[in-house]
Amino acid sequence: MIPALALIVGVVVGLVFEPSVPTGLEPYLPIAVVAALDAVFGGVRARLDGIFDDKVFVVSFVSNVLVAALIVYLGDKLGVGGQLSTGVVVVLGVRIFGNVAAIRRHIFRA
Amino acid sequence: MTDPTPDDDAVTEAITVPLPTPAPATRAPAPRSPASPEADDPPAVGEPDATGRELVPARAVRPEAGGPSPAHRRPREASRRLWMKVTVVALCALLGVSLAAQLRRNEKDGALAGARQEDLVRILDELDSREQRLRAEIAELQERRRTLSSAAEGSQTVQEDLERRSEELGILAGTIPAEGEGLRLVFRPGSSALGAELILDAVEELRGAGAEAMQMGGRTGSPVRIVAATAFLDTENDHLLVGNHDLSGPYTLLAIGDPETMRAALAIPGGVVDSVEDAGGKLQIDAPDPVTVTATLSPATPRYAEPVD
Repeated sequence: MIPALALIVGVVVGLVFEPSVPTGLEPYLPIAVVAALDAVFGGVRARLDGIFDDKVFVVSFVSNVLVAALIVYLGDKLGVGGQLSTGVVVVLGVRIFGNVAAIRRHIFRA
Repeated sequence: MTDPTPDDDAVTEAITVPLPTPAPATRAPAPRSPASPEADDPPAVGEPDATGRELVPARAVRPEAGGPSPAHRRPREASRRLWMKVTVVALCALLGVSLAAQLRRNEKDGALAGARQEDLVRILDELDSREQRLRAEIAELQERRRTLSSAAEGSQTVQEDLERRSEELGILAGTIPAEGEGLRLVFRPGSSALGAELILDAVEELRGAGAEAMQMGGRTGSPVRIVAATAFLDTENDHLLVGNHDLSGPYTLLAIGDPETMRAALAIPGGVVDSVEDAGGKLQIDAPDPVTVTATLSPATPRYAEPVD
């Protein structure tokens, strides 16, 4: 409950104060956000499964973000940044869909 | 924000704490068993799978490790868990902020600010080629405009040419008024009227001396423009019929041309002046400036003649 509130508060704060994104991080922010969303949906699912663990969530959140950014960074260095970030987004999107499906089964029993 | 956090945390802890401590052995396999039948999407579910896997050793280790000194373990464990919760909350807040920032950035400066280098290069290339296309188009349109305006200028010169030519022809044909330096001849008859032959001689003489436009007026009758086709006729009442106009003396002949040449032409021995004096009349010549020929003829439309191309 608190994390969800924190998420909402964060969105409001971001909308109100419009923080500027550091130029170096700009290309990685969208991917990082998607990766973090994946971690959040995974966390919600784990919570509904009754196996939520804060440490696992923190570790998976941070590692998801870092790995996603690293892949994109590497792709940029290799000259396939566009394709790799598309690939990362696709993989994360598939995972998010899977997690959301599980959440849906939990909530609606369907 | 800081005040409610510990309370709520306590609440969540109260909810979550029962999970590990009372029945670690039953709880740990419990999520696993529903997870495996439910795993119709196993590759996508790396997350909870991982959690499940990591949970088992953690729970399994804890009772063994906590065996010797559970009293020492518990507070440190609790503070660590509290820190983890705080981190979770902080991460969620961070995600919210970056989500909002990303949304803002995307709608503010479009896609360009976040685009990567190769995309920017491609966009730049496209813009370059588009610029070249547009430049070529501009050059083409300018060229066309130049052509059109020069054509317009050409047609304007042609039109001016035509107007000037039509004026010249109009003066020669007597269809438009004319003015310029020239002579005014007044034929004053003596005892007998001056014949048409004499007037015609004078006209021919003036024409020969370069008169360009002439008109003949009398005491009565409107003035007549004299052109190549003008006829002179004596009438029975000593009047003169000039181009179907009945004129009575004294006659005034206006001629536009070089005054000196015409004066000399009239004054040659046996010329017009002598002839008029012989006929008992008097010719008065002066040179008003300008001589204005106002009488005009309506142009005759040729019925039979057609221009040859």
